[in-house]
Amino acid sequence: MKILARLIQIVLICIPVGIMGWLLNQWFVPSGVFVVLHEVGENSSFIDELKPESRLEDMTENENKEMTQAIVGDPAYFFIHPHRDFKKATVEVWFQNQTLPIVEMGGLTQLNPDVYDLQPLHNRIIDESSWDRIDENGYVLLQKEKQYDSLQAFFQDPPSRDRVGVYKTTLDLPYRMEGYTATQTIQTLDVSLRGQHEFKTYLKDEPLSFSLYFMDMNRDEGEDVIRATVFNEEGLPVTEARFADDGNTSNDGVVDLGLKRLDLQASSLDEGVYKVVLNTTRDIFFRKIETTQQKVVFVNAVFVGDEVGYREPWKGAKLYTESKYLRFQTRHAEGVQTLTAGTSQVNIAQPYEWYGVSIREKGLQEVSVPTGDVEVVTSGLFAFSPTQYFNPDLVALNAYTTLDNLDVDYVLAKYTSPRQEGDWLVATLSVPTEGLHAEEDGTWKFSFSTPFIEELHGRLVIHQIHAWLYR
Amino acid sequence: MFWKHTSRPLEIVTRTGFHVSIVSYLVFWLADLLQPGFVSRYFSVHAFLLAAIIFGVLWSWCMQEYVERPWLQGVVLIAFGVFLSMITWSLTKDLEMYRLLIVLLCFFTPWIIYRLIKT
Repeated sequence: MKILARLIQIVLICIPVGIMGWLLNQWFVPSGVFVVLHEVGENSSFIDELKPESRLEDMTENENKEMTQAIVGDPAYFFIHPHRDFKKATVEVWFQNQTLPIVEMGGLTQLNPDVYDLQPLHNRIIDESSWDRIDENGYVLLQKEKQYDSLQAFFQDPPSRDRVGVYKTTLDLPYRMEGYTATQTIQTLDVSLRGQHEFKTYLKDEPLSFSLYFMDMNRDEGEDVIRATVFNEEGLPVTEARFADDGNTSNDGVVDLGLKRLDLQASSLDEGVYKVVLNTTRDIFFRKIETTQQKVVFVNAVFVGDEVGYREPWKGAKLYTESKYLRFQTRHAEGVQTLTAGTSQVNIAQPYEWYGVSIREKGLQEVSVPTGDVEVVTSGLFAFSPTQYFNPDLVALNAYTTLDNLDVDYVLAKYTSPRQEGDWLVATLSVPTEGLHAEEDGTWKFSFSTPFIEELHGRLVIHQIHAWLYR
Repeated sequence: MFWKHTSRPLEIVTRTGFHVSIVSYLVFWLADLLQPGFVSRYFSVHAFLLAAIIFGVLWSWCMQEYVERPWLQGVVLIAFGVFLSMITWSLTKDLEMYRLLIVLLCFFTPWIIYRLIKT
């Protein structure tokens, strides 16, 4: 009896010692990999349930007794709470997708504006294509008519750039404009653009010259600094211009009289496409841009600002784009209006609602924003005059196109199709964590990108989300 | 100590369980305080407190002989009273004039409970 008591004593002492050992193992991760397995509906200290509820269906159990939850709105997101520093994360998603052309997921890398490093989970346009397909080293080459036996052969002797569409990758074929000659004529973009923007321009035997006229509207607290940076075709910065805050960091709405001017200039630049990034806050309204460049296109998004304190009546803007799907939003009652895109009309009926419109006509189409105070978003380019428009990018495959509409013979994609596990598709994406935005407690945010999900009444059914965290 | 050494198996086991639980509670609670989430991500550190209470009650049932040490009881009561007072003081900033009253009540609470148990 006494021996039994001693044995129980030993067990009682060993239990907390063992627990402490297990906790230390969890913390220090001596194996180098910390694995978090999470099924929908399970409580986890490391992976949260999907959010927000308004874009999700209730959790349900399917006929195989598996817990599932369907995403029905865009974007849905979740958080991962690592308990220590990790260098790399691999996230695996078990899902079903019957309707959406493209599903992507990525981690939040930047705040204000929020930027996600989206990677493909499922591309049905590629997976369901009848074109000839080559898979090599995480790349896919689709060929309308088979010309190449391998990706190596494709890279060695690529077709002309206008015959290639790309997805999540690019091709080292520089854009050159035939018959382009430089001029000294100053072109004026007479439009109010609010906050951060990116645009591309083309240079050949000419200096780069942009004069940005702007107002600091002081509507939000904080400094309003402008940093304009020019990047060459290799993505390297070639010149930069800065403008300091006006000294008023409050949100009192007091504005200095007149327009301020920031000159962005560089000479002796090689022929090619240059990207200009205007990095600033939403308090900065660019009222006018003067340039000697003939070609200027804005990338993916423009925010046509209101013109309170600048001019009456507000002038709005006319944009020109080849994109086939646009989204609009205003944040104020004054921005409620009816826009025209091609022959389609879209009524922005209330603030803080995104409105989408498809443009059916081919080629360059006009988008009319009558009164401004509207964010316009697409996956493509905008110009403020038809003559300024050019498209230096390779044709991009996105959710709003089909292979036939791309009018190309080849599609090169950085994409690995998800594997099949029973009824589920399983996609894995690898994320270097140093690029992720981490909250104070180290939390990372991951978001799904499910374009067209509302329009198609689509569902992305999630079953499991696992993570492998590498120390 | 206030207990007497015994060779009764049940008393040995419950006494060990009580001591291990109390020490574990303090160690794990401190670890979680130093590195938030170290323990609480996986389970509640208060599980050890629950174990300590259960083993403590069982031990008190088994214990047949003990030595009364009033000074030790006094020290524990004062320490516990001070601890409760500090927590209460930090959590009752909005109570203004009632704050001191409640803190005093908390300080004497261990002593009141002790007296009730003794009687």
